[in-house]
Amino acid sequence: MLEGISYRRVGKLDALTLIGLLTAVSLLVSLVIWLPLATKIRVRKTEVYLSGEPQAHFSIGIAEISWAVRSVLERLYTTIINYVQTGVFNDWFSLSLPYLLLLLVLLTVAIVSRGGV
Amino acid sequence: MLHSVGVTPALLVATAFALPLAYLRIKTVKVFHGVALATTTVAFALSLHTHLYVVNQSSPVVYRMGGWPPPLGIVYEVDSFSSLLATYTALILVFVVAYSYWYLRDDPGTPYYYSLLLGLEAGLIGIYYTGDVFNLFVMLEVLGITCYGLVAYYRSSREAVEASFKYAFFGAIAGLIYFVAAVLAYSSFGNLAMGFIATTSRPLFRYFYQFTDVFVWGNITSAVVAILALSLWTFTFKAGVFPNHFWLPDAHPAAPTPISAVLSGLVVNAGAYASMRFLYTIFGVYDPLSTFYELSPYFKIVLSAVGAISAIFASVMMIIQRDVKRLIAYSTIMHLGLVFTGFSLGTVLGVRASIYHVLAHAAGKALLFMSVGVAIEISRTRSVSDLKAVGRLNPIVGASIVMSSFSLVGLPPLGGFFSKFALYQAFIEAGRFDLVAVLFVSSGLALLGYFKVIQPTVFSVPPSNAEASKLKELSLWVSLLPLLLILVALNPLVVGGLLDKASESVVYADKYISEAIRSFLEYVRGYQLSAGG
Amino acid sequence: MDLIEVFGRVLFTALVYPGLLFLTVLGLLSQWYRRKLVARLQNRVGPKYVGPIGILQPFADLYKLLFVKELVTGSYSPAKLLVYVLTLGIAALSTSTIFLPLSPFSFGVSYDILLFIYLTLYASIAFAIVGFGSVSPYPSFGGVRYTTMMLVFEPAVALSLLAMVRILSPYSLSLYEALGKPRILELNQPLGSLVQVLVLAVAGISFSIAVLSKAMMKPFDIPEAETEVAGGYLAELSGPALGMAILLHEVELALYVLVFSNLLIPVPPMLPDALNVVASLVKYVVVLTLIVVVAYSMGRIRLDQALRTLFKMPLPLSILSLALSFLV
Repeated sequence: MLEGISYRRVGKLDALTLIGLLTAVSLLVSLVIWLPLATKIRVRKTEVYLSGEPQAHFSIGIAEISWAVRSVLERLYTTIINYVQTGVFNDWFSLSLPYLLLLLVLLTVAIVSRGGV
Repeated sequence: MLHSVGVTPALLVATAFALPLAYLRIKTVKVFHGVALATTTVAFALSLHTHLYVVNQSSPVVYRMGGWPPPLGIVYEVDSFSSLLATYTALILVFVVAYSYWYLRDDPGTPYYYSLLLGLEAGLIGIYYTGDVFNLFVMLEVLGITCYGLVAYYRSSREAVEASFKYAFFGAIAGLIYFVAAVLAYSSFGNLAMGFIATTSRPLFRYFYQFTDVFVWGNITSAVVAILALSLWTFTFKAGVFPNHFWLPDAHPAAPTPISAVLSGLVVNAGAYASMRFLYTIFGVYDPLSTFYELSPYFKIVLSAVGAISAIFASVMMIIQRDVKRLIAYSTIMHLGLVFTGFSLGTVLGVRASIYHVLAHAAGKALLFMSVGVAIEISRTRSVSDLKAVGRLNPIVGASIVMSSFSLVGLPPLGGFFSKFALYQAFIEAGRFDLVAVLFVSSGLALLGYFKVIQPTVFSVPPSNAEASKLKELSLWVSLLPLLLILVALNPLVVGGLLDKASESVVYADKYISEAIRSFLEYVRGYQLSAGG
Repeated sequence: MDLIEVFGRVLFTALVYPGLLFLTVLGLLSQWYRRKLVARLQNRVGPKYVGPIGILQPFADLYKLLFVKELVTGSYSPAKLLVYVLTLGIAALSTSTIFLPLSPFSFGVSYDILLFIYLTLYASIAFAIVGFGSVSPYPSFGGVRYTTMMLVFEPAVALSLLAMVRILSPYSLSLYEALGKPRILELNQPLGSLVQVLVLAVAGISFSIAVLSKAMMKPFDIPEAETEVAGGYLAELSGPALGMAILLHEVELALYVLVFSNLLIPVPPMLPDALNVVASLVKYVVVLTLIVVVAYSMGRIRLDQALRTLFKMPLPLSILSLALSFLV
């Protein structure tokens, strides 16, 4: 079984056509599982569970989604905000122009190392 | 001569100039929406015609402006890559104009907005079509000026004016640096036609066409080094990758949402396009047949470093943003970084993957900006914690937000998966495991950012019915649904052949060169015949 | 093979073996095994009554949740949509089993490890959507925690898998070939064999830590913290939704441990005949036992501690293993 498969293509399919087929089959299988369930599910909606608080007060502060990453990478972020992404125009150039100089220097090295101008 | 090549930018510029004049007489704003939609549709039809012609002919089309051939005059040289990008741009702009109707219903500044937008499209299509180094500068400036104006559209907002000013200042310097590069090109190559400069770069072609060598002065290797360094700096600025990315997170959020979609999705592609054109077609840095092949290891390292650092930097910064449009702007930096790593490899697979990623990113980003713009407009705020869940009330908006985010993450079967797969394949075939790691890590980090966009706009408290009246309009469906279909249709069955042709015409520049020379020879022959020779 | 035949093969594999039915049974039996093992470790008895030695307990639980209980949920959450998202996750995992050479209908293509990784990504996305989609603070916390860990475990898992597949199947980077016909470097090429063992070991370490966080097992079971955030992403799910979430969780863990155990110990390759299938399952049980014992001997850690641990250990190790795998 394994010897006969050519690993570039399966029949007329390569990996990319295969993924289309696979996603289609996934959708089909998901419908197979879901449709019998969907007819049987009875949904009863209640108030949101807030450990006893009234529903009028609830909110989901999504800005807090990144609190863990922010605390772990805190030093990285303060460095970036204070040195790289400051918002002050002159600071940007202190990073951009060295890039230009780097390109020129690097390519000059390329010519010189080839052995001649 | 295929006149649709030359008419498209001219038509767009003419309409752009006519609109403010018409506004002096016609005061109803809806007319201008219609005119803009009609113009962009006509531009799309023309660029599609050009594209079909180029693809059928399988060699580039040379359009001589004013009848003068290269290298004596300015030419537009359209190959499969140019026409693919130009047609795609024109198509997306049609839907952006449809969305602008929903966004800027009766805003009194609309004629000026459309004037600048059509000028932007003219600049973009000019960049894609042009075959002349100085004309590229002109089109870059046209694109730049219209962008600066559009970013500052909300004149009363301090943030917008500041962002536009920073963008303009940076852009002016970048344009100046590119101008120096163009001057160097003219002084060392003697002409400014991309096709002829490409010939001079490849000794094999010079052997056959020795007359192209006549005007070369000085040592072209040192000149080309300077040209490449300077112009690559400018294109890195235009594409918004590290370290020339600083203007992007300020300018893209400050613009009106349809303009953010255009800036993030379409304008930044011009930088990637021009880099590929200069590196592969004109100077042939990765081509063993070219004089400048020895520069290739340096470019491999620099470009992949630039791309990798942009990708990781932007995905890290995406996580902590509180302004949803700024978050999406950082995502643009990340994806353009990935595009740069793609074509830094030097292989046809790499270029193909880059082009594919450009296409997938343009559709996904434009759709994401436009659908999030609906949420911003309804909730009247850009802050992530205060957005209302418009995705619940309008399923097309919800599906757009979710599917465009998933496409940018790379879930099958959407277009973003295929472009990322192409990038992986290119990296693995070139043995660059470090870029594979960068791609996985940046995609993982960006997931949190995209969820930060999806959660408040789809899975949160829906807006009240009074606020949501603007959601039920047809123009919203007309502008979002086709882009959604494009995202699904971007699979290799549909675009595979187009991409192969585009990447081959970039990397193997023989047809590009021979068409330019043929155009010149045709002119000479015609002149000889008419002069009775 | 033409399109129709491939479609038939994929459909059968995804639905029956080694897809949905097989993975469900395997996942639920593994749940029984895990519960029994952990109970014995904690001096309890574990499932005992339903079926001989309690082996049908997870099936009974699933049946009860899916068909007997009703779905009680908060007023803003789109319950049926969330159930559909979970079933989509299960379906994607079942379809990705086409690349496991357990059945004579399986096949593989070049670069199918990437297809596998991206198909199984649907399961993680499903958990995150369920966490955020139940519009309520506690599931939001669960979703936040899961998505934060996802930043790091997704690349780590993917890179480790890629490294292992690359070393076992270097020319076509195919999971099917890496499992079924792995390139075991001969012992007369000692350097190559050494690199292979090294890659498998390093990738194994990083994968096992990362999979602990992906499967939300201790010490990383932060998203479903029972008392801390009232169940996390499971808080607003009940009845069929909870059943589906638990099923997705078990199927995901089973699939990943199955693939991992057979990549880590490539020696009796995974082939469609009975003996090799049994060998694969034996490897599966061994690795599962190790993972469960190590996991349940630890307590739960905080989210930022988890993030630091994940940044320091699995992610750099997985990049190192990928680098090593490109050497040979």
